[in-house]
Amino acid sequence: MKCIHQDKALIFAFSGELDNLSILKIKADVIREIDRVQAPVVKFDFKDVTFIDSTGIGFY
Amino acid sequence: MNRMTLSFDAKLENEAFARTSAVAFLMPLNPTVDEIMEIKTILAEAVVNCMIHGYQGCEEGQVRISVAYDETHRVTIEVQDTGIGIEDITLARQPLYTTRADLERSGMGMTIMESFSDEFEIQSHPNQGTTVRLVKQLQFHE
Repeated sequence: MKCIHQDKALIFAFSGELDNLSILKIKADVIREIDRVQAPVVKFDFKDVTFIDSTGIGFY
Repeated sequence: MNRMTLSFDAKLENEAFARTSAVAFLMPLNPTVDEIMEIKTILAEAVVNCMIHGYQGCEEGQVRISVAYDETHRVTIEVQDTGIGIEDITLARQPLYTTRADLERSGMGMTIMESFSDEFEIQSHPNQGTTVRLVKQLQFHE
């Protein structure tokens, strides 16, 4: 996962497979960064994601 | 008819193993990319349900998957646990229903499995485990 600050947006770029285990690993970091930056716009970039299931839906 | 059966610990890192094993087994059927993605998703949903709901996160539980296909490329998948079981199957199958809102579960697992399969049934009793059985017809050209 990459985290990018662009203009007033906080962008999280995800890649690979987003299953239960991988989401558990990144979840805290994503929430922490959102709380820290308090950006008016948060974007999730999934273009490099190859797999996602309902766990991912629940997280996002 | 060809069949494979796998049993593994209810550890989250084994979910990917389950997905890829099922797809690897079905590769002789030349599934389409969409079929592969649907099979992977079905396995992911079913296996995670065993781990999160059936065994409540206890990694000592065993998840058993069975994948079979016949000469018409009709695929049967069974995923089984011996966990706490489901009290109300009808309720559990409702979209967005979850008993683990504390884990921010979407409640869409059953709906997704049912959407990606041609036949879908659940057998479960409280404290007697759960078996999910799905049938999916892959493309077949004689």
